[in-house]
Parts: sequence; C-alpha cells; structure tokens
Amino acid sequence: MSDGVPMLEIKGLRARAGGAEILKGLDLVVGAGEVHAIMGPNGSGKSTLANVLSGRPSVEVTAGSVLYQGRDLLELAPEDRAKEGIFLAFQYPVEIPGVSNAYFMKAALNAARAHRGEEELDGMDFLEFARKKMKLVEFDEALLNRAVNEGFSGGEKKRNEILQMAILEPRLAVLDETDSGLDIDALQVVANGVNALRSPDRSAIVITHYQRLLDYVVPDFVHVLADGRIARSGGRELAHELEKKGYSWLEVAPPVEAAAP
Amino acid sequence: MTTLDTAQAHFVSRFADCESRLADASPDWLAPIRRAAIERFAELGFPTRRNEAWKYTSVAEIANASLDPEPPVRDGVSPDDIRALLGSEASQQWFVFEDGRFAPELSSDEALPTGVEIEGLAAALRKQPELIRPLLDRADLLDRPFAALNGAFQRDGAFVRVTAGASPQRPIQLLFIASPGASGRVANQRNIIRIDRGAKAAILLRFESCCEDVYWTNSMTQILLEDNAELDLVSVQSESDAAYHFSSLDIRQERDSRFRSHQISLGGALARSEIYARLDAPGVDCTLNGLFLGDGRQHLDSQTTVDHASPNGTSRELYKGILGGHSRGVFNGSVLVRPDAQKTNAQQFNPNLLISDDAQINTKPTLEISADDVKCSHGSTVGRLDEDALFYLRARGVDERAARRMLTVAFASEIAKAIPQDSLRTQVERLVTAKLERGQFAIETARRSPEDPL
Amino acid sequence: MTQSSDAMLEKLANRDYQYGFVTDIDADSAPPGLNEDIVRLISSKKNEPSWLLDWRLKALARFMEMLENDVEPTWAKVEYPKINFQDIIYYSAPKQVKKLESLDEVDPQLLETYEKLGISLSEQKRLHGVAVDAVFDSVSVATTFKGELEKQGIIFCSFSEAVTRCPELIQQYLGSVVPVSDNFYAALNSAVFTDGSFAYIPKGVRCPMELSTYFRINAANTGQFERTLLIADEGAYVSYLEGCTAPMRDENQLHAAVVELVALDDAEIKYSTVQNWYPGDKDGVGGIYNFVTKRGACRGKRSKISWTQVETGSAITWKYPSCLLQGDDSVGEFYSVAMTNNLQQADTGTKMIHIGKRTKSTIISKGISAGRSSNAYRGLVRIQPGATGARNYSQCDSLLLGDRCSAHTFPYLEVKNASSTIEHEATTSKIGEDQLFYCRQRGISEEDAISMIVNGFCKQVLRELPMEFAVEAQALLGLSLEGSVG
Repeated sequence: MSDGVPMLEIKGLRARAGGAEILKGLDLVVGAGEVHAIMGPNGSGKSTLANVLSGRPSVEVTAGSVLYQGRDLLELAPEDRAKEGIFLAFQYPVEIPGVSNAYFMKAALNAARAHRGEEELDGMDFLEFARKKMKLVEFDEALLNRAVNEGFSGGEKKRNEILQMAILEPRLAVLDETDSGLDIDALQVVANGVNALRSPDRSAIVITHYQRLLDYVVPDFVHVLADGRIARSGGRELAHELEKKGYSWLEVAPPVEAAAP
Repeated sequence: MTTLDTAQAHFVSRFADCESRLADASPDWLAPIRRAAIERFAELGFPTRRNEAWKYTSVAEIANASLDPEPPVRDGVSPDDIRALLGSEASQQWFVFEDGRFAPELSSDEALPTGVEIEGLAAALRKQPELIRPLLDRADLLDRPFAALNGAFQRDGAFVRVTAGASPQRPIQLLFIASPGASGRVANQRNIIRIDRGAKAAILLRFESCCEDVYWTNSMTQILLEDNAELDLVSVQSESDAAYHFSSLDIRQERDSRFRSHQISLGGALARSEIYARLDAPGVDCTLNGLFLGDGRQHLDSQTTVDHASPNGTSRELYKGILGGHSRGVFNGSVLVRPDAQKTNAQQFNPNLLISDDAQINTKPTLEISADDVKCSHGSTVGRLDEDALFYLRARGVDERAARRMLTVAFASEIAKAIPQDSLRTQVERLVTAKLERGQFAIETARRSPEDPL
Repeated sequence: MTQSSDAMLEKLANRDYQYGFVTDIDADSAPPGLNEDIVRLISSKKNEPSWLLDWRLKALARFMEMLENDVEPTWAKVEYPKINFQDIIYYSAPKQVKKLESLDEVDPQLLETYEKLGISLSEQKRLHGVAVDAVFDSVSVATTFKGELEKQGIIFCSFSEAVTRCPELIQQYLGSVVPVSDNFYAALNSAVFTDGSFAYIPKGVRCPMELSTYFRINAANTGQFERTLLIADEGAYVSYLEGCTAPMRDENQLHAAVVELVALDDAEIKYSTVQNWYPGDKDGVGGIYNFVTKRGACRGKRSKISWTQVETGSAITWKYPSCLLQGDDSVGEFYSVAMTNNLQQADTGTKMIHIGKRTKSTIISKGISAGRSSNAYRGLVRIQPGATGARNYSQCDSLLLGDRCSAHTFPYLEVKNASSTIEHEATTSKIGEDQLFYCRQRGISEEDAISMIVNGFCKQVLRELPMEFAVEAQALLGLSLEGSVG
C-alpha cells in the first residue's frame, strides 16, 4: 500500500434499505493503522454502513463514493471485498446447517490465500493454524466441528466471529455491535481479538451502541452517527461524554457541519 | 349394485320426486343451480375409500341408513328443550335453526347489534339475490360429493352479514339443533357469512341435538371476508352419539383479511369436517385451530386445505386429537402454495393423544409447494400422556386418575385458550370439560399393557 | 435470489449427463411384446427349473389381469403417457458363446464400458474391500472377489447363477417379501425378470467387504427388470451398494426392478443406492422411468435394515424402499436425498410397517428441486395393533432452487397402538439470502456457497453412505467435496 492513501475514504454516501433512505450523505476517512469507533442511537444507520462496506445486496447505494486503499469498493462483489481484506463481524451471525465450522473457515481462508497467490492449506496445517487462533479468543475446540453457528449461544456466535477475524487477518475489520449482549469476559475476548490485529497497515471500524467496549479497544477516533450522517467526531473522550449525557444530547447540539439534505 | 350405488340412486330419485316442491320454495334462479348439483352428485356418487380424500373414512354406514334428504316440516323443538340444552347460556342471544331451517320463534327477539344482519337463507335468497347468487352458483363447490348433495337439496340456513366497518361487541351465536323428529332425515343446510370491508366479528356455530336416533346433518357454510375484514369463527359440534355429521366450510379471503377458525368436534357416530380456505389476495392471514375428542366408537375426521393463491400470506394451523375408547380419528391437512404465492409463511401442526389401547389415528399432513421464497413446515405426533409428567404429579400426591385427567385437560386447553372472546371461550371450555368428564376417558387410560416398556 | 446464483443454478441444472454413451456390442434380443412365449423364452435361456417357470407364468397371469382391470398405479404425483407394454423388449443380453470361467473371458468391450463408468471389474484394480456384480442390460456379466467371499461361506453371484447354485434358498425366499401380486410393476418384474444379484451371508458372518452391483442399460427399446435378493442369516452383517447408468436416448425406457431383503435374528443389512439413470434432456425428452419396488423384511428379533439412497437420475422415479419390522426390537432406517432438475419427476419415500414389539424406525428425507422439476416425498408409517412400544421419527426437508419447481410432502401416519410414539416434521425453504451473504463476506464464491449449503442440507443422509459412494454422490449432486477437517 502506498503511503498517504487512506485505508477507507467515504464521500457523500447515501444508501437505501428496506424502502427508506438510511444513510444521507455520510463522509468518513479511516487511515491505515487507525481504529475508529462509530456510535449512535438505534436506527441511525450504523448497521447500514457496515452492510454497504461489505456489499450486502439488500442495501442500495444511491449516491457517493467509497474508496478502499484508493480503489472503488462499491464495484466489487462481496466475496472479492472479503478476499481483498475486508471483514465484517456480523451483528447477527448466520446459521448454516450441516456445514462444519472448520470446513467453512478453511474454505474462506483458502479462498483468500488463492487470491493472494499463496498455497492453500491442507486440513492438518489449517487445524494447527486455527488452534493458535482459538487460544487467543478462548474458543472451545468442540465448536469447530459443529455446524456453522447452529445451536451456538449468543456469546459463542460472537466469539466465532472474532475467531474468523483472527484467522482471516483482515486489513479492514468492521465490527457491527459485536459487543451487544456480551458479559465482561466475552467483551475482553473480543477486545483481545481486535487488539491483536492492531498494526500500522491494518484498520478497524468498531460499531457500538455503548462506550463499554471502548475501554478495552481504545479508539483513535470516535464518530457519532445520527440520522444517516456523522453528527460529531472527536477523540475517545467523546464516547465518555455520550455515555454521560445520552444520545438525546445530540438532538440539541448542532451538527459538525450543515450538510445539504 | 353396492350399498353406495343404491344410496346414490335413492338420493338422485328423491331429487326428481321433490324438484318441483323445492322450486316452489325458492326463487327461480336457484333451480338450475340445484339441477347442476344433483347432476354432479350423480356423477360422483358416495365416495369410496379408493378416493384419496376418503382413504380413512367409510361412508357405507350413512349409505345404509336410507335417509330422506327432503322431509316434510315437523316442529319438534320447544323452548324448554333449548333451555335444557344451553343451561345458563340460554339467556344469551341465540339464532336457532331447527333441522336446518330458521326458527324465528325459538330465537331471541332482542334487537340485533348495529351493522349485523341475520335472517334465514330462504328469505334472504329472495331479498338479496345479487349478494347470494354468485356465492351459490359456484361449480367448484360441487367437486366434493356431499357438498354437491347439499347444493341439490339446499333450501334454508343462516344468512349473516356484518356491514362495512362494523364491529359488534358480542359474538353472534347460531344454534343448529336436530329436532326430536329428525330421525331418518338429512338436514341439508346452507349458511352464508359475509364480513364486509373492514368489519370485525365473532360468530359461533353450535350444533346440538334433541334426537337420539340416526339422522344426518349435512351442512355447508360459505364465508367471505372482504378487504381488511376480521372474523373469529367458533364451531362446536355436539351432535348425538347416533348422528352423522358432515360440515363443510368454504372460506374466501380478500386483501389483508384475517380469519381464525376454532373448530371443536365432540359428537356424532361419524363426523367429518372439511375446511377449504383460499387465500385469494395478498397479505391475508389465516389461522385454523381444531380439537377432536373421540370416545366410544366415534369416528371423527378433520380435513383442512389452506390454499395460498396469492403472495405474502400467512397461515397457522393447530389441530389436536384426543382419542379414547374404541374411537377413530382422522386428520388430513393440506397446505398448497401456488406458483405466484411468494413470501408465504405456512405452518401446520397436528399432535395427537391416544388415551386408550383401542383408539386409533390416521393422520396425513401434506405440503404441496410450487413457489420458492416461502417458509413452510408441518409436523405431526402421536403418543400417550407424558409418563414423566404423570410420575411427577403422582410423586406430588395426585392420584393417577386425577393426574391423567389433569394432563389430558391441559393438552386440550390450548385450543380453547386461543379463542379471544371470553364468553365463547368459557362456553367451549365447559363443553370440552363435559365431554372429558363422560368417564370413558379417565377409566380406560388406566389400563396398560403388561408388555409396555414404560 | 441474485442473478449470479440463478446462473449457477442454471449451470447445475444443465450439467451434461456423463454416462450417455452407447456400447456397440452384439446382443441377443427377443422380439418386443409380452406374452407366455416370452416368459418361457427367458426361463429357458436361463435353464430355470420348472417351479420357477410356473412362478413366472403365475405372475404374468396376474399382471395381465391387472393390465386389463387398468390398475396401473396413478396415485403418485408424476405424469407420463401410458406405457404400451407390448412395445417393450423384455430380454436383451450381450452375446457370449459359452459360460465364462474367468474375467479374462469377458468381452473386452464390456470391460471397457465399465472402465468408462469408473467401475473396474479387474480385481487388482479395484479399491480394496468392494466386490462387484456387473449387470449389463438384463444379464450379469461379471462378479468379482467371488472366491475370497466363498471362503467365509458367503454366496455373492448373479441371480441366474444362484438359481442353480442354491435353489433351496431361492425357492424359500423369492417373493416372500414382495409377493407376485404386490403391485403392478412387481407383478411385471416377477414374470419377466432376467437377472440381478443374489447374496447370502451365513450365520454369524460379518461380510468382510462391501458388495456392489452396477447396473447398466445399453440396448434400445428394452426394459430392465432385475431382481435382487439378499439374505442375512442370524447375526450376519452385510453392506450392499448399487449404482446405475444408461445411455442418452430420445425414447423413455422402463426400469422395473424388485429388491427383496431378509434379515433374520440379530442380522443387519445396509443397502445403499446411487441412482443415476439417464434423466432425459433439459426439455424432458427421453430418460428412464424408474418404477422400483424395494422392500426389506426384518424377520428376526433385533434385526436391522437400513436404506440409503441418493437419487439424481431418471426422468421419473417411483420408489419406496420399505421395511417390514416383524421381529421384536427390529430397526428400520431410510435416508434419502432426491434431487430433481429440468423436467424430472420424483415421487419417492418409504413405508415403515411396525409389527413387532418395540420396533423402531427413522426416516430422513432431503428433497432438492431445481428447474421445472417436481419432487415429492411420500411415506407411510403404520403401527399395527401388536407393535407395543413402537417408535418412529421422520424428518422431511425440501429445498427449492428457483421459482418454477415444486416440492411436495405426503406423509401417512397410521397408528393402531396407543403405546407408540410417532413424530413427523417437515420443512420447505430456499437457500437463505443471509446464508449466501455470510459465505460471500468470508470470501467464498456464490457457486461454492450454494454447493456448501446444499451439501450441508444433505449431510445427515450423505454420512450414511459408505465412503467411496459418498464421494460419488457428492460429485453427482454437483457439490464440492467437503474436506477432511471437521
């Protein structure tokens, strides 16, 4: 990656989902090595942003641009974005009956490796590699042989997302409310997963409703999303301010800049 | 000639005998409709068990009984009979039909709630032909033999209309009663229920009997729900032990309408109900709940078809069977999803409880799906009372008989509990409990085979 | 479903049939038509004893009576023009001069045919542990590993050979599970069956290798009517596999086989099928009518019969591998994957007849419909009055790929014993958009994701297949093989 090109550059992004406009001119720049937290009330467009970045077919981009390492991201198919290093930790991980977790992850890892011109891992090598990662996120190995997310508890599903992230080692990780519904121990695991990936050439966008996670994953920047736009940006102190004052505080506060509707 | 052929010929020739008398009783336009119906019945005849829809129910017994489909009128039911039957519920508003014919003299004379029209079909045929004729003149109704027979001999029944936007507070209660003189007769009644645009109502169809002999109730009810209409239909069948009961419900649902059927089958030597719900427009919601409770030598048959013919429809179906004595239960529930009915959500479940060694059940839940973006499922179970639950109760000091009764009532109660109207729910609970109390249930269940591993 | 997945499905649906070639070989064929002379001809070609000829003639009379009374079964959810049974050739066999003493004497062209189908009849080349009986048109052409099996007293040979080798077993068991007049096609088969496989596993013997029959229809206008009989004596175990293919031809060909299994006390038979008869082209022209009666009798106490089938071929499939659970504590199982494409029609399922006490059955059926096909599960679970403590569990799931196909579920539960426990559940769904997206977000292509999800959908059944067959079955389903991990 050439110096100076941001990891992600979003300009004037508008997007529709479920028949309504959700993102209404969103701008965001994420530099290489940075961790950005995106907070905001329910319905402000946080998940829609995650869906746009990962290419979910049900979300329609109507205006604006998204550059990923200087390339147009929006023209790529979801699997190509993944192979290029974008990872979405799903808010609601999907169950795939009959397909084992190990097989699924090996297929995903080998798809990315093939894309990078690297040799595919065989079963044994993959297991060895996966075991190290499982330690990191305290993942029960028995879950590896179960069908993807099938019958997993909420916490197990989230750990599974973080394990997949650890295995795929993405350049840009997007965590969509991965912390919701987790106890402190599980939260620590999620944080370990994200922190282990921190490096000058990797970035992360952490979407969360609560600032709690940000005590463990210390962000470089915090943005507040409201009604489809970034309403406020700042350092990590912004998260504490939000926690204290609540999201209603935003409604009276003026936006950073008056964007045209 | 088989018995079935003989009976068929008997009904066809009875029609020829009475055709002019029937014609005198009704407007002219009904004559060709009756004629088409008897012709269709002559083609179809009494169904044999080779007919897939009748695989588990033989009608030889009905055919053997040589019943009269067009008997002369005989008054037999007295207000006292009705008070005796209904008990404390007698003080409520009732519309009474005696052997299928509207009996205003037995009905309550209270004023009708706003937006509700009720009268005998015979009178309504003359007064509102434009509303009724298209409903009666439907060839597709004739594909089932007893519906065709009903079409040929139809004369009277109930006409109920709830006008646009009306929402009567109280349920509309119809009582169909077999008179003491019903012996040897067929009551072919036809009911029409119309819930107009945006209206909301609850209707009870209650079948009772003052006759201990063999007779046959052959009832056909057509229901139309216009756009955004809502109906709870509670049908309770408590005919006498010697009776044959056949009832057919045909439901047409227009856009965004909501229909809930609560069907309770308690009486009859041989009773069969058929429900055909066609979800004809988008956004329709249809719930079919049912409970059949057999003992002695009863044969209770429930047939349902939910036909998803339009997108975004939802149907839920829960039919429960409890069979004691030497009774036989049949459930045949069919869910059709036609090619255009995308985004259909259809569920069906049929749990059955066999509580005596000699009871039997045949169940056939089917799915026929021709659209891909759908969620459809069905399930069926057959079993006994949960031995663990039984033991748990006994370990807490409840004697076995009481424990069995408690669990059986609990199994049955789910259907009554789903009735939103308090007065109807109470009434159904009372009738179900009375049937369960008849004794045979609790006694026979205690008998267990020595080889039983449990 | 997105455009690319539609394209993927289209590709799946239009996959070429790989086994559609014709072998040019001299055949000894009878003229078309069904009558006593044909039955006598077949019987004499096989040097059958007179009791067997009589048995066939009785079956023929019964079939003719059924034909006359027009009782050809029509209840299945399949549609096809009426079959003219006089147009069919009932006997066709590759010409061979004398009885074969060894594989070296088999016509090299036949050996080559089986090589092309991936079935090597040369024992050295075979994967270890599978003995094969190869049936070409109506006749068994070779059986491998016979010698090795004989050492343990196992008889595995063509049906014709068994008639001379162990007539007492044939006489005792033939038609004892599927009687002559059981149904229309069983009666036809009983009259004109030509060959098939026979196996007998003696008391207490665990068959050391998989037994396998590979059926091939080659000649035009012929029907294939094979008869298979497997007997597992007390305490015996056998795993049996069958596979089948046919050339691509524009006319429909009839395959009406009968399979009878008998398991005595404590015996177990595992019967696996990968059915890949020619399905017809994408417009529904040609293909095999696969009208098959398969039934196993669990006669002995604690006996077990397990059917596993992967049905991907045939224009029409009409097939209900069943279990008569007669022995107390006997067990019946049915695991099925049926995939239909284009204009294929399948009406398949099972019958579990519980007669003995504490008998148990399990039914797992997975239907996958694509194209304009119709795929029906039809199953009967019957608990007879004496089957105290019987249990059944059935699960029937359907997956729809595309909006022009259909999936049907017709379970019949007949319960005449109150101490039994029956559970049936069924679902119909399509591949979820969210499942596809989840896979794609992990870098897995849509095509691979569909394969993976379909594979996962069938897993409960595929894992019942012997390893080698599982590979073939997955390849047939157009799926990538799920790897060695997990």
